[in-house]
Amino acid sequence: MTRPRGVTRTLMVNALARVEGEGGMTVKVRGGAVEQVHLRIYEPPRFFEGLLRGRAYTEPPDITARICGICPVAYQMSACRAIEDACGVTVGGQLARLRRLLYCGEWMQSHALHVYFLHAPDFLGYPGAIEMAADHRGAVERGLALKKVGNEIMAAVGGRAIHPVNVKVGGFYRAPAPSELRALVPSLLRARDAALETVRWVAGFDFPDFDVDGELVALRHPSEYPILEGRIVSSGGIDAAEAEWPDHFVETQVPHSTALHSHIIGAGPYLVGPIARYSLNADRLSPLAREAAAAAGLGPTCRNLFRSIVVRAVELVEATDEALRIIEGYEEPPEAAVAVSPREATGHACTEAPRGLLYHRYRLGADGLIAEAQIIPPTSQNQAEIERELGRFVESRLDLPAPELTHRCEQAIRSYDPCISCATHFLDLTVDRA
Amino acid sequence: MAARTVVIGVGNPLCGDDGAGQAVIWSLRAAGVPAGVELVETDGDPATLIELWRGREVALVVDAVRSGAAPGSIHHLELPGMAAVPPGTSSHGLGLAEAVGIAAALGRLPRRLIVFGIEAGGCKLGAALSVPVARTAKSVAAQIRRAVGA
Repeated sequence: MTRPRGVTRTLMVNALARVEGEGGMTVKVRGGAVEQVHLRIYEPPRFFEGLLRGRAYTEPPDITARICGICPVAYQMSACRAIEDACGVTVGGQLARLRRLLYCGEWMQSHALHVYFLHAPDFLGYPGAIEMAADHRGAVERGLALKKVGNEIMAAVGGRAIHPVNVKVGGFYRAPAPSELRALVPSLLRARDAALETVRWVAGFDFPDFDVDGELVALRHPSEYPILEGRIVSSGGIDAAEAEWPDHFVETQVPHSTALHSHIIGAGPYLVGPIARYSLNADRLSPLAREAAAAAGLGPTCRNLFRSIVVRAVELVEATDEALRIIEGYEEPPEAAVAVSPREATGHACTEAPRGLLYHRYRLGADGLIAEAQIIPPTSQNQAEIERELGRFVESRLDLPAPELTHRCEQAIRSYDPCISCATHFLDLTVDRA
Repeated sequence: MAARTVVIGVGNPLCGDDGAGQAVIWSLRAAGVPAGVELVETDGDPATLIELWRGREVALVVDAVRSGAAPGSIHHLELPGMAAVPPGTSSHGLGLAEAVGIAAALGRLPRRLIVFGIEAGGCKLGAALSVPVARTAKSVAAQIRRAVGA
């Protein structure tokens, strides 16, 4: 099919399904080239940053947990650790292990939801999870079961399955008894088998050929797969402390979105999330997860956008396996939390939310009130990079008819697992090719 | 053992009328419900909904909906006929309609599923419930109390 040169075409998706939240995307094509890609998102974190000013230093874990129903633990953990950083306190030992366990529960919930209910239908040719459930009942049941075990961890450590209420600055209101955690072991063992089965299942899917070629950014920990802490590293050579985030990254306002775009200072857009985390940390996976990754055909790095579903499945193995290890080594800490006294200072923290690096910064006054808060969720960090990559993606597929191209764009966007409810409310794809 | 009856309020209380489901639960909690009736708030993720209602005798779900009707209107739906569930204003990609569809395919629906859809006006972040929706939430809570024998 030939198209007249010099004519502008716009592809639009006005209601992108199966992403977290809602938003929109516009691709403008002029002649044979992509002229512009805009992901339009509207961003709650800005509202929360305003809301946090003047509140007590103890409040951000509960307030920021409300930013997202999918990853409240990520917000709580980045908030707690940033405030503890400002107050000169490090929470380690069993309390840090409990935080990591809680976070594993959230990874399980979030990845099971994305792999089974949002992403798999694309590979199996269904419009959505309902249609898929009729033909793949066993798989959908497995997804539900995995998510349920994530809920059980959240309930045991966090006090309830969503929006945990047991988390506080310094640790927890109450530390679970070892017997409470050991009670999770039988279902976690089943969940680990289900996670391994998930890797085998998704490894058999057919993956379109499209590699992300930008800079990858994730945390890296000396001995563990990164979740709760680490140094910020990148495929381009960044190696920085969490507190040095502002020295390496900058946010800029764009007119088409209420989310700010992030860039690496002096470089450009970058990608956070499972692909980045895996590619920078494959050697930190547990032996079981590493074996599963190898059997699924993943190398030491993975840049194929669509194989991110395999990476998420491998991370499900890691999360279940790690949860079992933490429970095995758990002893009840003498105190459920360490004392944290406020002081006039600024604190920073990064953690690995299911969708990637989540940065929080708080400036506290001498009165213990928050003078300034900054929250940079993974999806807004990825936004500029998603736009850049989608431009490349569309450009190599311009001969496709509009509905097909739009559908492929939706699939590509879903592969990034954008959490538009963190970074906004999702997603209208507008492909304008007049 | 799970209660035979569960009342599930779906939505986000920080987003204006999207918090209608939670408002109903808060009202029920304040007024009290009989033993054997569990009250739950959730963001409406389908996997959580299916988990909450599987094996129950009765599940009553309250969610904000948008169908173009006047804000505060009630859509009362009961299985069968659930295909008519209007899409929720849930802030996430999948909602109540998907949860019902997936549960039906898996045979995981409760024996009776009753949905109160409350037509939302604004769902702006940081907004309170609108006056008509707040009024309807009270009325739905009263209806539910009667239905569960409070």
